[in-house]
Amino acid sequence: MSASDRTTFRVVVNHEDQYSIWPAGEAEPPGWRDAGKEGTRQECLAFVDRVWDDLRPLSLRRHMEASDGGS
Amino acid sequence: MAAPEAPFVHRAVAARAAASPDRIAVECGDARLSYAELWERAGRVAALLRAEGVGPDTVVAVAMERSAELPVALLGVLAAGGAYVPLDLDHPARRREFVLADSGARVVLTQERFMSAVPREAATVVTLDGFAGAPRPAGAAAPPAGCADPHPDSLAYVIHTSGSTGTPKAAMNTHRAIANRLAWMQDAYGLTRDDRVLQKTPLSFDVSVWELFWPLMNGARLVLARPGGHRDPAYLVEAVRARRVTTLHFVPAMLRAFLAAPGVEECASLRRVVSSGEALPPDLAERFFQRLPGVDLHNLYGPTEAAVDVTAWTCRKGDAAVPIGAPIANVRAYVVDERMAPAGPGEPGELLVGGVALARGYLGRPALTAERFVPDHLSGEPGARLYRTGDRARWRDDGTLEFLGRLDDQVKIRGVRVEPGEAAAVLAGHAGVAGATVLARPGPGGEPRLVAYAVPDEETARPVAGLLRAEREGLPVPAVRHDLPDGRTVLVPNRTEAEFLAREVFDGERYAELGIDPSPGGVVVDAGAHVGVFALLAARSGATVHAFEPIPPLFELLRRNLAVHGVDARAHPCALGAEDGEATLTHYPHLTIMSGRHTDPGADREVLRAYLGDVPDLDRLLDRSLEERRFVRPVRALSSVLRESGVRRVDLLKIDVERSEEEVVAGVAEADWAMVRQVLVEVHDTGGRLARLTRFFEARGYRVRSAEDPRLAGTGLVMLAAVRPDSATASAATASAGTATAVEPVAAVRAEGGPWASPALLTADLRAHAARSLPDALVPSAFVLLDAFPLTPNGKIDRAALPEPPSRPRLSGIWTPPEGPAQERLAALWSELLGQDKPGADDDFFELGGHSLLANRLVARIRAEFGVELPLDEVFTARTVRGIASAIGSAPPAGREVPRLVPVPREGRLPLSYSQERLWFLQQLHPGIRAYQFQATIELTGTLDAAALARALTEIVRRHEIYRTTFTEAPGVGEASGAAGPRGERPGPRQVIHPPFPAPLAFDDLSGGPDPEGAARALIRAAIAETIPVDRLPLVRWRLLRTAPDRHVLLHLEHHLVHDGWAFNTFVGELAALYGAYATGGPSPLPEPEVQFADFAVWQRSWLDGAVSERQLAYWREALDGVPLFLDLPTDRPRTPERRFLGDAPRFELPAEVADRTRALAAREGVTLFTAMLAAFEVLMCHWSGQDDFCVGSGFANRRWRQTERLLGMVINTVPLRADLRGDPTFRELLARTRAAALGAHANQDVPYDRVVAAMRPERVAGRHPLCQVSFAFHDAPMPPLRMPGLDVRVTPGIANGTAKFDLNVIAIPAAEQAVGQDGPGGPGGPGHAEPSGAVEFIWEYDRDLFDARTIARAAELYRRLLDAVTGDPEARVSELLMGVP
Repeated sequence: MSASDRTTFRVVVNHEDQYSIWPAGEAEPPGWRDAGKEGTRQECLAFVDRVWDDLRPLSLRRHMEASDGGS
Repeated sequence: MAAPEAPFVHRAVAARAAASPDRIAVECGDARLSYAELWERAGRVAALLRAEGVGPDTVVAVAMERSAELPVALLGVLAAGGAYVPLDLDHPARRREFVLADSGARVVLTQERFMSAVPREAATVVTLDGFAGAPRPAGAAAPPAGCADPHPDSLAYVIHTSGSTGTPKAAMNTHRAIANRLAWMQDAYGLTRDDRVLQKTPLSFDVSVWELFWPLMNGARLVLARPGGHRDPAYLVEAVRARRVTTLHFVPAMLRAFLAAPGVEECASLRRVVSSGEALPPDLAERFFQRLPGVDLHNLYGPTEAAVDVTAWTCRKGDAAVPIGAPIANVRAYVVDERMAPAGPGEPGELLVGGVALARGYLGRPALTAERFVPDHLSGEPGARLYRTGDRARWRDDGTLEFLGRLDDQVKIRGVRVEPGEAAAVLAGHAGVAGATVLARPGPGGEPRLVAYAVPDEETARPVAGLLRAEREGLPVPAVRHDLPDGRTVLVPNRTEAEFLAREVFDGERYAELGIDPSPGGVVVDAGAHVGVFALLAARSGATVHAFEPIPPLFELLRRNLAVHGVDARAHPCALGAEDGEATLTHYPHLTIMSGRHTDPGADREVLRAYLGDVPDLDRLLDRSLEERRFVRPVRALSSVLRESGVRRVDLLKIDVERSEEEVVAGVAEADWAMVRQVLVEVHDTGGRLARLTRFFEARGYRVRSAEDPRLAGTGLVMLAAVRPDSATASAATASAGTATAVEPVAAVRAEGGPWASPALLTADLRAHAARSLPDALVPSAFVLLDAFPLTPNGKIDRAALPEPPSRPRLSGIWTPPEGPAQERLAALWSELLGQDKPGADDDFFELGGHSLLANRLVARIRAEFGVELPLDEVFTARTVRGIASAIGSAPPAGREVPRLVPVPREGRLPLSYSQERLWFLQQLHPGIRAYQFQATIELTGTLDAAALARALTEIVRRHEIYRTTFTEAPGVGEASGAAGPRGERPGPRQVIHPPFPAPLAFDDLSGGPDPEGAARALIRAAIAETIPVDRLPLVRWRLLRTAPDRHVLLHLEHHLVHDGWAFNTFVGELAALYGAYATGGPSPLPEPEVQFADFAVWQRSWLDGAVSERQLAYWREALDGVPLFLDLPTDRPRTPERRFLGDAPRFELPAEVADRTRALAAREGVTLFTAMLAAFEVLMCHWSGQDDFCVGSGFANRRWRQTERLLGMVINTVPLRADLRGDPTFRELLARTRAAALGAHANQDVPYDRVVAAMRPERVAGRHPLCQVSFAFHDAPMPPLRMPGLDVRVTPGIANGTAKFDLNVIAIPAAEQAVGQDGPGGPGGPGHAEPSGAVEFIWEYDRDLFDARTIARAAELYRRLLDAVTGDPEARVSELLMGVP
């Protein structure tokens, strides 16, 4: 097992609903919050695969939904 | 520069169309589109796409070649609000299918001719042929209807990249990002309306994005290169000139080709060249400024996951390095260490980029996106992301970034992590090369090594470039390279002849003796030029050479050799004779130097016979040599040719024409002799030819001398020299000049023809250059010169297509032959041990693949061959053939002490070896213990030929007496009963050898049962629980279990009296070889063993009873003086007086990361991995026991004598290694002490362990081993390749059988170090794949009467942590390393 595989990670998410992972022991960088999953790198990435079903940033999604609604 | 407000490429183009509708926007071949036409047609495409439902974030596939329709299509997609994904027509169809499906595109834009190449599953296909040429409807410059602009974060284009994972992934790039990138580019480089940008990059490479849109956004002209033209430097030069291109892009490899193309300096319209995609070597930048003075060169960098480029640098003439520059507008860049903290200035680390340039992520790959696009913890911008490029970079002092290669390219070489790109950059800076790249590839032993690939410079290394080109273009005849004595390389039909010819031609004394100047300058006529060896010598002073060679295969080589070396020569493909005409010539392909017009097979045979002398099978050799081919060729009179060529003076006429010499002479008109200064003729002196020619030349005023070549004595061949006395000045200088010319070494050529006249010289110089500039581990171990690099469709170097280096690395570059008999004998020993033919005098034993075990074997061979005892240390310090040969000269003699190991008579009592005897006594004391039984399984998957397997085992039993030997105290076979045998020894055990017998191979077919694997396990458990008696046959047992028709397990059981680890590997190798032969119907490929185990035992006693033993014992007495005799580990249970030898043997894996760090530490400290691991183990034992002075036992192979290498049986010896941790040393100091102990033990490993113990006069304590209660050993005996036809073979040695030999016995199995001779991992996949799995498996065998399993598990974990700690801080003291006790 490599060093990075031993590290525990946490899934984090930002204001645009973009997901990433971050070492569990460290504070989240500004603008990112805990998405409620901690585990190995692989476990966290598997979680991301399940929950992040739309890669568009939130603001774009809202804009597009608004234009669709408007037309 | 702020990021653009309305970030849309198509809006900017629309604005241009409105401002200058009639200006030419697009030029492709004969087609032209004005801005208005472009925008109108793009609008129609957009409308069409909108009708298909294309809008924001919809992906449209584009499968088009470069054409005027291409920019129309792309702008149309953007104007429709969509994004495009390229389907590259140069890619394989499967890749296009994947890309289309992966992108989810529902519409494909293409051209009629590519319909068949477009995957049509679930997609609407639209062809755009003729769209560009369609008439322009009136007033159509308005923006396309119904096109509301998308959101700036909508997608603009999607490009698939091939990751290291193999599956392409699609980076989604946004309008905001690409608009920012293009606005920056305009801000930085200021394109004007007069600029013309050449579009030549395939759409699948994101450089194409700026090539296409940057000119169109700024009113400049987009010039499209013809399809495929991007690969053709000559076309590109022509396109730039004809279309007055000002701006274009190259990847560095293509830029190099472009700069080398003829006419490039006439590309006067060029203003700027942009390079990206690969590191730009400084020498290439230099060459650029030489070739294209006044043109700007920009080096850009960016991953596909950001909009094209994120950093930029404008190159300056004379820069020693080319950085990738600083981040472009609105982009951030960071260099971070492994913990994602910013690296210090100059420190290498991973490059992260952030800002508006970032892609949205990977299409449909959330996990991959989350992994590569990480939270930005450095900029302070909330919620921002950074893209991990996977590239290594560092900040320079000037605030720019330097690119250092891919992180995955890093590779461990001899334990040191290196970046091959660094070596490539240094090599590329060498003046003799035009380009270089370095790859890590598996070496002969499977471990990675660096291989350098270099393309010689066309000018500075012209002969090498020419030679490689000639070879690539293909030669009309079989030819090999041969290095002439002056260092130049020529192509010759075969090496033997070339050596002969070169010796003759470069024999300076002969010219002196004849009074001839072989390199007179002026004009030289070479009649019978063969492949040009003489012509090359003659041309040295700048002569013009007329070379005549009528035999076509030789002429082809002649022509190339003269061209390669830049000789001013005219090669004439005809023979010379008395008059113009035709003749039939005989060519001996195997003996080309005797080919010619008047060959005489009978006479030639006699010449050869005289020359070759007493050679076995001479007649067959002669038959083969004189196989012949005939050619009818033109014949010319020399005077006619000279007249036609306008030659007025001949400074040397050399004639070597196999019995036509008089006819050549006759072809010179009488009047012409006046202009011939010197004549040199090889005369076939039959029928008075020499006398006639002598008279002929004397009659014309020449001074004539002749000389017979001693090498050709008896062949009738004589050299005749005729020199005009009136050219006395030249001749006076001749004697010395002639000598000097011929013996002049390589240096003379360096001075004259540039330093790199041959591949060998260039390679040698490259290697020296690398060694001067790079740390050891980065100096490539093999160099391959290439005519040109193979390129990928995008113009990058195609690493997968680079060839494997030749099997014999020429490490010292130029091969210096071993000098003198000692070096020659030593070189022969090396080549046997290393599997290399002919090491040179300066080759390094370890770089050629040697390691410590091989060094041991080398010492043994030296002992046998030279009769000296060379200390092992000397091999490590002297390293080269030259160095070790010199060390041999001063080594103490060994011959008197160690007799040869030879077969002895089998009559009488045969003793046991010392190790066997010790074990036998132990076994007598503890009858029934199974601690000294060995068991292994050999899993055979595939179709097994059981009969062949049984036959192979039977043959092994026949070959090796030890497998049919029993051990008894009773009188042996053929020995009279009584106290003393014929040799009068004391009573004791003896070996009894039995006649060969068919190997018993019990067979169990378990394949029909419900759980064959379980049944097999149960059978194996039962079998290894049995005790093997040592006084009756067999001591080796086999059982074959079938668990499925194609799955068998061979269980191998043997008593340690007939076993050691080394022997088992030999057994496996023989089994594979014999099975392979028998299964395919062949005979045994194995040579009969020279000696048997009993011979070894007799021999060991014969010399170890003498002075050697005393000397080695003296070493041990001193080394172990005062060491406590017990290592008192606290036990979980009290010791019992009677040992039961019961135990367990759990396996623990040391992770690759720690193991590799340990290897690196060992490499840095100059110790073996064993020593480093032993030292850490000693620290653990020290902490556990509280003792700072004790012994650890270790099994040493003891196979230093050549004849013991292939011996089955118990040769291994235990040696006590003293662990001296007194005075709380640092770990580094402990390494030095451990190394000294290990080297001393190696040198004195022959004396039996029992004697060492006895010498220490230990008090025997019941239940305890004397001296060594704990053992630490390495199982790294070489494992032979295990190939058995039709079978996958997997060997599991050392299966636990619930016993323990020591209190604690730790065995390391470093697979990487063991795999000598096996195939290396990976193929030509390049770096990263070449890294072997570095993990090391440990078996912790322990006495379960003393320890709990938990204790041992904790000990193993502490050991791992210790290694982790000491590799991080070797300066830590032993006391500081305390991290608890097990």
